[in-house]
Amino acid sequence: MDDSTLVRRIVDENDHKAFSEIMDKYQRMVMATCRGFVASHSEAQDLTQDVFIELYESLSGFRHESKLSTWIYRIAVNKSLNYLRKKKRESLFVSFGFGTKDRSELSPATHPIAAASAEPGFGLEELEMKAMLKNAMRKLPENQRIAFILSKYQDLSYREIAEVMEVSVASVESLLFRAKTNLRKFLIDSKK
Amino acid sequence: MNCKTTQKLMLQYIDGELNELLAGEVKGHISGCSECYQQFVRLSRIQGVIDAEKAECQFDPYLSARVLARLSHRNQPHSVLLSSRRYVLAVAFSVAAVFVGVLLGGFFSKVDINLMQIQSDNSIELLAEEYFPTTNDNFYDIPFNENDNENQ
Repeated sequence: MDDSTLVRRIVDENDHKAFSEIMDKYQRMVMATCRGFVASHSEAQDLTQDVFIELYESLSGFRHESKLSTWIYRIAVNKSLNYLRKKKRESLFVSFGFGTKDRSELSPATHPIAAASAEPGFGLEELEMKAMLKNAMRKLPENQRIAFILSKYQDLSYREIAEVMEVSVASVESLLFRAKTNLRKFLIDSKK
Repeated sequence: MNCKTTQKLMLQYIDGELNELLAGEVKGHISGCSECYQQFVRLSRIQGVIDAEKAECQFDPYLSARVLARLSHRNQPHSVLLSSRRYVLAVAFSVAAVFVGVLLGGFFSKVDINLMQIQSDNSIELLAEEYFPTTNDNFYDIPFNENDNENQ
C-alpha cells in the first residue's frame, strides 16, 4: 500500500494498523535524524515517539503537496530543535542557581561527554571524538546544522534537503560548505 | 597549494566533493605536510563516528505499540471527565469556603456586639448605683447614731 492510501485510511477511518505500517517504514529514518541532533541514543528514541505522535495528530493537515517522508523529516527536525531549545533553557535556569545542578551537569542532553561515555561499545579515542563532534555541531547555526545532519545522517541529496528546508538547492550547497568549514574550525580549535 | 587552502578544503576532500584537479592538489600537499596530515587523520574519523551513531538506530519492533498506547491514553474520554470533575469540585470547594467564611465572620461580629452591649449595660448600672444607691452602704452617707439624738 502506498503512503497516500495509508494516510487516507488513518485520517478517514482512524486505522491504527495503517499508522503502524507508516511507523515501521519510517522509524529508522526518524531515529537517525533525531540522533544527529541529540547527544544520546535514548533521547533519540524518546524523540522518535514524540515525532510519530505529532505526525498522527497533524496528518489531517497533510495536503499531499510534498512527499510524506519530507513532511516527516520536517516534524523530526522541528521536534529535535524544540527539544534542544528546551534543554538549553533548563540548563540556563540551573546555571542561575535554580534546580539541581549536579543532575543537569551530567545530563546527556546538556553535556556531550557525559552522553558519549554513556554509550556502550566505544573506545576512549572514539568517545572523545564523538563528544567533540557533538560539541562542534551544537555550535553551528541552526540552518547549517540541519543541512549537515540531513546530508550526513540521512544521505539526502541537495535537492531533497532543499525540499525539507524549503530553500533553493544553491542555498543548501552554500549551507553545507559553510557548515563543513565551521565544523573543521571548531574541531581543530578544540584540540589546540 | 598552501596549508590554509588545504585545511579549508579538507572536509570536502574527505567527502569526495572536490574535482579531480583540486583533490590531487590537496592529496599532494597532505602527503608532504605533517601538520595537515594530522588534521586529515583526525577529520577522517568524523564519518566513522556518524556511521556508528547511525548503526545504533536499529528497527524497534515495539515502537509502534508504544506510540499507539500513548495515543490511546491521550484520547481516553475519562481523562476529560476527570478534569471536568476536578473543575466542578474546585468550584464547589471555593463556594463552600466563601460560605463558611461569611458565616464565621457574621458569628464573630455578633459576639463582639453582644460583648460591647454587656459592657455598656454594666457601666450604666454602676453610674445609676452611684447616684441612686439601692443599698445603705454608700460611703458618702454620714453615719447616723440614734443614741446621739437622745442625749441631746
